[in-house]
Amino acid sequence: MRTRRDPELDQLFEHEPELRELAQLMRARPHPVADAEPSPHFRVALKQRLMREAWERASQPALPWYRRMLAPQPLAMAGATLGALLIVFTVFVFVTTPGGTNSTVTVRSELNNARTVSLVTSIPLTFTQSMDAASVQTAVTIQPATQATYQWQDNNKKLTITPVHDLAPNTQYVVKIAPSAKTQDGQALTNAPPVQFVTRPPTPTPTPTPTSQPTSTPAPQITSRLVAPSGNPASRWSTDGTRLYVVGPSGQLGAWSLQGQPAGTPIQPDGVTLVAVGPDGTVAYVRNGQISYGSVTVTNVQPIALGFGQSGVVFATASDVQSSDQRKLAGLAEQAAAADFSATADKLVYRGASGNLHLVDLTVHPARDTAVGPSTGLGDWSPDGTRYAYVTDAGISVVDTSTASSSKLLDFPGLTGLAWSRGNQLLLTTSSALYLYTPGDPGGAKKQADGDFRQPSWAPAGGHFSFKRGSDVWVGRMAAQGGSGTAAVSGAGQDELVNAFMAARLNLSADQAGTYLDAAGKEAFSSLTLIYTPPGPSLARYYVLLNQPYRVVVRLVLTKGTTQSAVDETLILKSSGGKLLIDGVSERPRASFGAGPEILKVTVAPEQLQVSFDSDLDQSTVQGSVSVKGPNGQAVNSQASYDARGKTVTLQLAGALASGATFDLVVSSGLKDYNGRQAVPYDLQFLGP
Amino acid sequence: MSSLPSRLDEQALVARAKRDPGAFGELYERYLVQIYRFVYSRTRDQTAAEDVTSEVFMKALKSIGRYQDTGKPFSAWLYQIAVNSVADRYRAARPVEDIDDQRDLATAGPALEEIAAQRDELRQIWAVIETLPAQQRTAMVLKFQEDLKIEDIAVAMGKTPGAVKLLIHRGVTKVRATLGSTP
Repeated sequence: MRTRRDPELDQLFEHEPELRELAQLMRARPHPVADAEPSPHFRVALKQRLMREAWERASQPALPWYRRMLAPQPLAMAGATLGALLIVFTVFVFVTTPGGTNSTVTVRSELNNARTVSLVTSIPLTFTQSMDAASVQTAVTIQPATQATYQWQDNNKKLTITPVHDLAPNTQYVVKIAPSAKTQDGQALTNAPPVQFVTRPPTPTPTPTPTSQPTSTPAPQITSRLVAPSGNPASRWSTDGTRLYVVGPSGQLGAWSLQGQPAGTPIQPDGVTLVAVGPDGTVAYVRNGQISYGSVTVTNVQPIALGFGQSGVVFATASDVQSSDQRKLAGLAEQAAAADFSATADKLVYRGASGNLHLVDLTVHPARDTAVGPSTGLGDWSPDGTRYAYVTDAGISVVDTSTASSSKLLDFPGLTGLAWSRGNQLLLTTSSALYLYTPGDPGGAKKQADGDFRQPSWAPAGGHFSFKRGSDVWVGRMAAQGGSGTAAVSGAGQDELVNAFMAARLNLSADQAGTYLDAAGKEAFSSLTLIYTPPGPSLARYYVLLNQPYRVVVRLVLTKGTTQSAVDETLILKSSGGKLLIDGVSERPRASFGAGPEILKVTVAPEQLQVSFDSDLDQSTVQGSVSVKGPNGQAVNSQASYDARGKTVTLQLAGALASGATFDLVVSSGLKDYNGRQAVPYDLQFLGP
Repeated sequence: MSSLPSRLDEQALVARAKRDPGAFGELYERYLVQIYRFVYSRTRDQTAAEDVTSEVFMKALKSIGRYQDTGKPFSAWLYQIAVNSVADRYRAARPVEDIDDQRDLATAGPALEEIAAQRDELRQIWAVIETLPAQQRTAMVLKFQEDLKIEDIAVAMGKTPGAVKLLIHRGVTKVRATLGSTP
């Protein structure tokens, strides 16, 4: 706060005392963003860029000022001076740069963390310094193995890697740069995190709800019912999704069971201003300035958000973040109007009174408060907690919590709220309709229903969601395909059944997934994992390895943090009462998934097998490494050929496969990818067509 | 606002920076935070603020040889580049709709209501400033947030001091009128 008066303002408003005092007040209390600080990384990086530019300019004899002003002798002296300054500067940077490195050389890519990337794409890398092309190209590896060409631009600061062939669909790619990459002056890369992205699926994956364009008249995709009158605080789901905790118009808190007709159980008669549910299912609420969470009470506080960390409940007020013992964990850079903790309370997002969204990293000390950008409302955390989607004038933006950088996700003005499901779908509400959007879907948001929707919130298991309409809370249910709430795939192919079943699992909707199982299928899944939920690995994506009549092999790709694993499920289908349903399942973990080339798809014909891989292969290793064994384990004579464009091995068989007999496709470790990595041995059972 | 170096020191440093890259580095260290904060206040986006701030200093580096010391602080010249760079950025991004239209949309509705509801005078004031026309707002930000002198604002905005006074007077009058009508 500036305390002295500004004589210019006194003079400017000399005859207007009211305006004069207002002007002095404004000057004394500047805008909250006046506290914004450039990040240390940016500060150092820009200085280095400027210094490089400055030295380059200074060393160019063609520069007019240089040519005009310096004669030969002074030039020699200037050169010596500049050299000395360069040494001083280098020492200065060396001493002041953390870690003792003499400079910072980093690389980034706009493709990093992208989803549904086109199969025909280039991979751009931007370096902060001019790089030595040969050392970088030698240091770059792409997994799955991908043959590529390299183009340099902008004085070797921009590298475009262009795959020779289309990328494999539905595949996670990781681009790494080894430390052997050097700048043109021999400096090593300081920071080269892997660039990761996932390509689009081979065909659009149907969601549990049929899609339609927002402008079209939608078929009814949801069924909804009124639960209870509601006040301002948002309602919260119980951890098992069977109850909804609703704060009524007078601050009365009740738990509403949603099994059967909604029935409320009073918890507090009035005065509740906030409710949340802890990870163990215990309800936390704020009433008359007191937080109650199990046996924990915190008095004389005015929280605007509650969170649950390892040490228990934490809360955010308009000005800070505190633990349950009222220890201050962080001060907020501007007054907060609304806030939202991440699932583990290691991050907080809040919306300041100026409308700016802030991200607070509570894992560092002191906590780091970063202004992200303008917002018109809060939003929701991504399933893995690494991103936060929020509402802006233009639509939805997403902030990456690791970098605090924000990017636009979807142009969609007029949103009143959003909720991000564990299955990576965004429920979007407006005052006139409800939409469903899958990030990266080029088709955009799909309208689900007309009407006034606000405060959307997915139930933990997906499928259901709550929303506010008028002064009431409602619960909606995403109808299964066919709109009846049950699987209505009669007459449809098994592709649709499997895709709908897998989409339900991606959305963590056990109810919905269950509609695609018959009794035997439900029994079979009772001992396996139908829905992958934290803290275990999450189902990131799947692909159909083999699709034969009534028998489908699906590979589930599971992720936990940055670790990927896979399990292959063989689904047995059965037609019953005119409906095709899943009748049985067996599963087998895929050992060392991703350690070498992996099969993406197998197509079986009487005399031919086509095996598509995710990697560019070493063609010389194909023959003999991909083969077929008969029912008795004997080898089936075949000739292998390799189509590099499709990354596909074709086995031409000596004779027709016996229909209905069991065969094995065998991939041995003799198969190598373009980078020389060996395949992890694999066999896939299939039936003669 | 942080204390400025003495004019003599600054003049000497700028003169050196014209021929000595190391001295330009000192200027950078001295003014980075000021310029970044100003740019950030106009963009409200960290990435955009970093981009524009980079642009400001790169332009300054390229043009410092032509910089003429007219007795005004060097920072006024940097602010001038910053004002133009921010305007350029939004002109390039949106040829028709400029930043002011966007900002007006962003703050005219719910944000003001929200702020008024909180009865926080400071935030109300700055919310109103955000709705002012571009020139008024820039002058107000440079005066009240950056604490520049009117003559320096004139340099930064390429206007006469009299014109800047008029912009500030109108801006403060508008703030007063808007606050006065707020329930």
